Amino acid sequence: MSARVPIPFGGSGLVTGTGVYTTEPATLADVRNIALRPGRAARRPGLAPKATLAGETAILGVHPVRSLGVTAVVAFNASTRAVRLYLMGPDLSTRLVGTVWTLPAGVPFPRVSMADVWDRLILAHDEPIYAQRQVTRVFTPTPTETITDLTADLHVPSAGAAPVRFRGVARYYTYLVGWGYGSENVGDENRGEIVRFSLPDDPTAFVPEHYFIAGQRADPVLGCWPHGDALAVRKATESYTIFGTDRPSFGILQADALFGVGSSRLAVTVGQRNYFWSLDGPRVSEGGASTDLALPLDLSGYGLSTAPAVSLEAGFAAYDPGERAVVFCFGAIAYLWHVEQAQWTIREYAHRQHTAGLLLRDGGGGLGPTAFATFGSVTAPTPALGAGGAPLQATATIDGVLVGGEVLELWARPTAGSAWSRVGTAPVTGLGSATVTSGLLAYGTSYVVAVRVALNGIGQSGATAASADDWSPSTRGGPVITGLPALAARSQGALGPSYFTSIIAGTTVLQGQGAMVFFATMPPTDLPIAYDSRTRPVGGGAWTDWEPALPVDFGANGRAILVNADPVANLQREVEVRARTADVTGTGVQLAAGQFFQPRQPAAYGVAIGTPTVHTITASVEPVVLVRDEGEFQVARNSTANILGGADISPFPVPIAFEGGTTTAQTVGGGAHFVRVRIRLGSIDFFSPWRPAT
Amino acid sequence: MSAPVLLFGEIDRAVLAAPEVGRGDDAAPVIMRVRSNRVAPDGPGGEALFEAVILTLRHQATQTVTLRAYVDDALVQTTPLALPAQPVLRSRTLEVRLSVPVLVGAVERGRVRPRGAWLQVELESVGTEPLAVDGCDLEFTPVRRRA
Repeated sequence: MSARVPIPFGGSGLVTGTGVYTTEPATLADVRNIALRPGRAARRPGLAPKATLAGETAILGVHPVRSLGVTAVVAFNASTRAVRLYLMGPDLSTRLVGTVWTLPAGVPFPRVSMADVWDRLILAHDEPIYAQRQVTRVFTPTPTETITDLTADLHVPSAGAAPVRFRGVARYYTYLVGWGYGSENVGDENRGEIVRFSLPDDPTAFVPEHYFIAGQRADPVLGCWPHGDALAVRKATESYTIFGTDRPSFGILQADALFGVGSSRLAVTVGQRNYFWSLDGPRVSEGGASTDLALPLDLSGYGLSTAPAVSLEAGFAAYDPGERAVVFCFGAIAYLWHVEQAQWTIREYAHRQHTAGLLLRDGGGGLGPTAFATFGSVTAPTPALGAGGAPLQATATIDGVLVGGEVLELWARPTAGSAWSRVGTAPVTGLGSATVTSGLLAYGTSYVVAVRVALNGIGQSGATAASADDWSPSTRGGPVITGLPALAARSQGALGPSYFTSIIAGTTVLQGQGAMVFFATMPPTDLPIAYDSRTRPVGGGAWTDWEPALPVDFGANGRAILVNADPVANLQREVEVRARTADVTGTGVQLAAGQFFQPRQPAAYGVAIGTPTVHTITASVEPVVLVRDEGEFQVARNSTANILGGADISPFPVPIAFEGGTTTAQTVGGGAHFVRVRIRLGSIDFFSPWRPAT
Repeated sequence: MSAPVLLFGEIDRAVLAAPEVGRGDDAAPVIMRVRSNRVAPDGPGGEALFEAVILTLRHQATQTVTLRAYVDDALVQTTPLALPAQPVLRSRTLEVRLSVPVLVGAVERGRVRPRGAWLQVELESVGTEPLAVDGCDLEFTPVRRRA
């Protein structure tokens, strides 16, 4: 009798600790690219590109600037060796601020340490070799954006302010913390164990005496991370804690004599805990001694030969709010520690990652606009024929204070839908009335719209939510229905099949049996097209409905063929065909210049009179181009010139190829002889006028 | 206010990327691979006939999943599973019968259930659409239980 047991997936994440009796069955021996969910393992989300910085070759750092509501992005150009600062808004738009450093030749691939304190962003060149380290820089957004050197008079005795070269910076309460720099006293510059604190009310002001010494000289501090009410100071093989909130309460203690951080970017604080990757693997600390997180991971465990290798220098740590996990990433490999579940997973990326940071969403404030837009009106211009869509145009009134760089955004969503998207932008040039036009939207569709002023990707107050339905009512308008293009006929002279000849241009007169070809320029699949047609005697009279034998099919090339199915009744009549979009009632748009076509007569027809009375008939026919692919081409002979009736007596026996040329000879008896061209399309024959023998 | 998103920056090109469900890594699909731990239904010293793996997968779009079964650390069976699209995201249960060939002179003469102490299952799928392993059961027949 069979039985059943569960094989757990995703229950406990990756655990490679070996040993039959110590390994929980409800764990995973290997896991790549999954997201742990309660009771299940799911394919992880892909890393979708959101922005590309033109002219740059690598991303060095991503750091949210909370007070400004934007995210700072630092990029590097390997050719120019320029390190440049960009600001990214919640809408993923990026704007270049300026160059932070231009690195001399020989300086290794740069790493950047950033801290946002107050409304400023401080950038330090994380370079271990002091001689190659660049000056620490400060980005100040107001009153005008500037990137300047961080200077301080740290010389004893005072000798005036000089550029500071921190190796790293962090924010602790309202202080800017910088490490790796002593003072401009000769021989005192490169002090890796020094951790300096700014004044609490000015992050760019430093006092010579406000510093800590962490451990031994020449053993450099690699990074500082605030967690809880303390500041973790980590070297490669030991850690310290700076506690306190002001000068009287500040102090430093050794927190861990064995474990430090593997490199300057391999730590992140989540809540009260600082997660870091030491030389012995991942650990976590809440201020005192750290705890090993590597035990369940067991990177050096027996049988784990396929574990991805780590390169500490290339590694960085970040917190992923979507996964609720700490990400330790080493190029294209990442180990994720899922904080609440206390479990590990591994991810393999298609591209090597160098840094990560949080993108603030809908934060507002800071660098957001101080102007605002009020919705005015929205119209739907008639789109150009064949454009592929239809635009909307909205007006708004701009009020408030402009600082420069604002844009007026137009947002829209289908009335029957729920997803808003930004469909148009226009620079704001001044207060008062403004207009913005969207790109191409779907034809003949109802939309609701909204407008707002944005600056640095941040929307105006009351218009920062992802859905414009949550914006102030004064920003919204509509619904409005997008337009439909006007249909028009195309000149058929350039496109008409060469073997067809036009009998009468303009309003068409039918003669005998032939095809009426209409040309119209229209998007072949964008619009449903309906048609109707009418006819009247030549020269005037009442129009009556006329239904051709074949339905109109404009096809992909915008051409249609109507067949005169009743040659007697339709002789000498005018025909007009009109086309309209299916949802428009009324007369629609006339397709002008419907042309009546029939095959041309054979170009030449000769009869050689032989003995006895034997005639050899040949006819030459010019090459043809067909409207449709199918068809049969034949030359027929008749002894009576008769446009209508008079069946072919003896068609030339072999259908002639479409390349044209001369028919084969036929032996005939006496009497008058005529030839004409017959073209068969499907089951319909089209005949040219008869040509008598010459 | 929406939750912040972790934005990644690449070293080989100036591209910023963020996690997004239903997408791959730029143009590359995501290779999902999960290997369970080893289970011994009759105990570490016991023996069982492994009948089938009952797999519950949650998906909506068309997916291809490869199931590999290991008995006593040896790969005994590789089975591709084609999951057709469903109108909504929901679970689908599949039963994969396990068998190994009986070879006589390199010619397959029959098939029998794999027999051993330990079973391990690995699932692999290449794609971008959401896919989750909701559950996995092993159907077996005890042969010898460890006392």
